Amino acid sequence: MNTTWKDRLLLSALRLSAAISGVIIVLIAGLLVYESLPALRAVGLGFLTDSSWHPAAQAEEGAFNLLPMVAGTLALTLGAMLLAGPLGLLSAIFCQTYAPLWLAGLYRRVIELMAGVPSVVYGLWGLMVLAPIILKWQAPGVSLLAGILILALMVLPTMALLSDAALAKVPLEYKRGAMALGMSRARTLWCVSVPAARSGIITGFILATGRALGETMAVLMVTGNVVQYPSSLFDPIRALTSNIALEMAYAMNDHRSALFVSGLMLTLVVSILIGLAEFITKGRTHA
Amino acid sequence: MSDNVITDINGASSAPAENNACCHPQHAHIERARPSGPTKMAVESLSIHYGSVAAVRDITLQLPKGEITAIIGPSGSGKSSFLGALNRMVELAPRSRVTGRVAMDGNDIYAPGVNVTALRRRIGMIFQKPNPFPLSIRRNITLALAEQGVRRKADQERILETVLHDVGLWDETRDRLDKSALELSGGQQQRLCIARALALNPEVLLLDEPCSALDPISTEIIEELIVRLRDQLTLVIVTHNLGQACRLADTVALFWVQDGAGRLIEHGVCEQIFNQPCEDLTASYIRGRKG
Repeated sequence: MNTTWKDRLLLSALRLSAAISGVIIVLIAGLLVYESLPALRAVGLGFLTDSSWHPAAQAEEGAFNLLPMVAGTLALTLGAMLLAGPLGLLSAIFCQTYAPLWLAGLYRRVIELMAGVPSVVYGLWGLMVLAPIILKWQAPGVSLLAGILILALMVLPTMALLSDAALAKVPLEYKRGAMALGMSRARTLWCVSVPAARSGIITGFILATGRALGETMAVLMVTGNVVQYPSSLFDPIRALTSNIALEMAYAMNDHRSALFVSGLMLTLVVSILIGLAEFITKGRTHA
Repeated sequence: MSDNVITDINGASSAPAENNACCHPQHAHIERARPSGPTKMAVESLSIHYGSVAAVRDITLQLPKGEITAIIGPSGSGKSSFLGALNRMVELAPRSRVTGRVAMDGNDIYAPGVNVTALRRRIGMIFQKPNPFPLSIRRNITLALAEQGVRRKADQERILETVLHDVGLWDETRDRLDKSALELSGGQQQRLCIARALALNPEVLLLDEPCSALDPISTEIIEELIVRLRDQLTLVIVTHNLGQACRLADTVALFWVQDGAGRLIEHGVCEQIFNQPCEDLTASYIRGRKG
């Protein structure tokens, strides 16, 4: 009797908390769409076809092309993941296999510390240290490249720690089996351990990508925020996230609504990427 | 042969433990063993330590070529450690130390300069729990082959088909070679592991309780397979199942913990060990198992 009562209580508590999280997500998405609607009605395809991003409070007076910022966000994320993906995986492999125990432990602490540094601190460092270095090489310093480097640093811990955990979970039997077959360490690693840890590694990659796409402050501080399609790594760019943060303070009416469209666009891009990743990993139970 | 022995074990429960006015353990196999083939592996005064703890001490044992040697004994008597010393897998355990001599075809496998990975290809090993890689059935077999230098697709396919036939898995898997090996049943997985080892054409196969995680039917299939392999290979099987030792083995070695380390108590031809053991320990162990 007593147990059933407790069971019921637990069940209600679980249902309630699940419902709360679900409802909040739905509310946010709903708000995003609701607030976007005026701009979507007034500008419509203009978000993709207008000549530039020169927003105005009245839709007829402005230009609202978001595509350069979509391109900026994608370029930033692509570059950051091209760096952080392999680096994170390799550092996890180093920790799990070749590093002596004390070094692996120390390295993990350092990576965890990296994950804990606030993004504004990364931004500050990027602005004060990294951008001037790039400037010496190629003006103006604040650029796509600076953004990529800072973002790579920021998402590296996610990639490294999740890959590390995934590799640590590979059963010892696989390694022993490979050893007993006279397979070299390198081959065991690449052909057995990494495929066995694949789903964890991919999860790490997706989460890191999500973080890169959504990062705002550090990106805003180091990329220069010029709305344009990047033609080289040294061009300043503006990300969708920065766009919202930069203009929210003074945006009104249709302009304000257009910023919600920026958010909607960002959500769409993330959703598409996650869907794509799910599609790639699904249906392949083994490597 | 095996049928007779089983009857002996189950029927003649008066197996003599008293009339053994015989032999020192170390000489048991020499005096009692029927004429057997040349020695494939020779172990002399082998001791294995993990840190300061001895797992086995002073084991001397010959493994005759083309025969099945069963190693029996209670848990913790160092059977698996001994097996691991035969292909140097024991070295993967932290702080392990091996002393004594293990020779294959007269060559010390612990000599400096021995290529361990090449050695392990000549001495295959099957583990207690089936451990196919989480890859396709095909890749489980071709992975190590490629490493051994068999790179041509046609050669790999040929060997794949041969070894899967050998373990009786071909008809069951020919249509799903690219499916995950983890979708196979436990018994099939263990046979795949054996096929994977056989693909490298080893000279010796070490089996560490290969059936203990399997159901009786799978066990029977694996046992039949092991018997069939006797012609091609030298086999060593660690088992807790005395009936299995009796059904399969040509010679049997009993390990026991003495003075905190595993020792070889008795080694001899299967019939002798089961029906006329020289040592009291052997007799009581076998009687105990008989109930």
